[in-house]
Amino acid sequence: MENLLLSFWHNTGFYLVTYKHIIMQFIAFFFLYLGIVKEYEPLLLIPISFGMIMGNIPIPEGMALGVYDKGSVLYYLYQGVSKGVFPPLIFIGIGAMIDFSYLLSRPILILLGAAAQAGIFITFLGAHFLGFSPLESASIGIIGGADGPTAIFLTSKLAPHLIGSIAVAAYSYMALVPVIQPPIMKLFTTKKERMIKMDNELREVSKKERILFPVVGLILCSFIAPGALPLLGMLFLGNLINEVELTGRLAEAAKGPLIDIVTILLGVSIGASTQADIFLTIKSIKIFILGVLSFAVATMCGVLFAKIMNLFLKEKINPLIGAAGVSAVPDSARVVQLVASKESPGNYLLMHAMVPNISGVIGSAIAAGVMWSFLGGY
Amino acid sequence: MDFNPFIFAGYGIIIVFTGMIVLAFAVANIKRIFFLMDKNKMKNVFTSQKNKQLIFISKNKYSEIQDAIKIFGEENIYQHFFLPEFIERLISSGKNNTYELIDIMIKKEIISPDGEGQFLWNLKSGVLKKVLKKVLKK
Repeated sequence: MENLLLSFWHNTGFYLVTYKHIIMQFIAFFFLYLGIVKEYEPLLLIPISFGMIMGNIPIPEGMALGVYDKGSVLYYLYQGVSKGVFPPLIFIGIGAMIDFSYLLSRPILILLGAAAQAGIFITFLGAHFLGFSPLESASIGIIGGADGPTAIFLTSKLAPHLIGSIAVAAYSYMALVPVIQPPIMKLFTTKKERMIKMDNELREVSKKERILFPVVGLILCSFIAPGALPLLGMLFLGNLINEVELTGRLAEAAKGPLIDIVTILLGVSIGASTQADIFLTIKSIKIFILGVLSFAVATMCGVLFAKIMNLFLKEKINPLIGAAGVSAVPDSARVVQLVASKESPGNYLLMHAMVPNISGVIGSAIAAGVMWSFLGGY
Repeated sequence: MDFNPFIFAGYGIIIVFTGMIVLAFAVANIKRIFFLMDKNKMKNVFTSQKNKQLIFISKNKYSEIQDAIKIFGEENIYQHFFLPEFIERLISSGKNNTYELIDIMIKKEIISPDGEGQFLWNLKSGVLKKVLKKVLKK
């Protein structure tokens, strides 16, 4: 009887808990606080942080409960992440939610979405020189794309052992867009530049153009970077079913139940994958530091490229919109609007910022495809 | 094979930029594909006259132009008119996007200056012919 009780005691969390578990629970509480109280990306941070709590409950050996224990429920949910299935599913929903009209009416601003992706490759170099392998460096660099699903997708292909740290870094920095971006935007622009007003009259975009764009966009981008096909294919499919009225039901499902269900499963399984032994390492700390640097460099590249474009454009653009090229739809576009309206109330930049913001999603998917194509054989 | 991170990063940036430039170019020209589909407008695609802008007229705009002709009076279509007077009539008849409509009509050369301070309906305009056909049918 006594042995039975003792064995039960040895299997409880109170007996098995270590300081690492406690640290991870504190980190989970911090993310939960950011999501609930600060309202930073609550739809993502709440499932992730709850998953972190679940993943860091001490479990006895031999019981298939954890995300890495074959046969456990969490293990099967995690397959959606580790096999790169969830990110393309999320992209269908994102595609169905995006309105490409702004992008179609101001195509020149697409280049800002490309410029911000330079941050990915610059961070890749930084990570490489800090001792990470090329595959790991590419996975870390993609955090600068500020696109959680893309970061998870690429990491699942190149460095699956880093998925937990990279996903948490990518999503937490996406949530912290309003904190990270404004100082960098201000640092690289003058007050006069921040006050530039842009013409708000956009060209009327026909339905035909909006229907043709996803097909043309997919073919062009995938021919250049075939590795981006799973992400861009789903993104453009989601957009097409939203534009074609006959498939309205599918679009509603994609931008409603589908994306919600996948977000819950993705968030919980990523959170659960951050087990103390795997997550609390020097490597993770380096990834977090490089991640925020990647984000900052991407923001800087977008802003500086907008300034370079101004040297050639007759109608000047507000360089703040370059910061929206890091994707993080629509948060970074909102931040641009916020910073611009603080400088000059009534300066309406949101719809202009949406162009680099949306093209940033396409750009980061192309960057991921390029990295996968180059490094897949290593 | 030796791995050179600088070459990799350089190629990566160039490819992403190329992809986005190609996409921007395609987006900027996507409207021309529809323009080409309309055989009547084939000639205009290859002429780059500065003032002739590529403007597409949606179905709604056609019916708005139709309304504007009715307000003007189709029986007066050959008469010269003062633009501000016409604008005033459109506004007073409840057209809230009058200036946008006038802008399109000028750019598409549906109405054009007669050189003596007044305007004239351009009866050679394909759009006007199409709209007038509908108006006269009714």
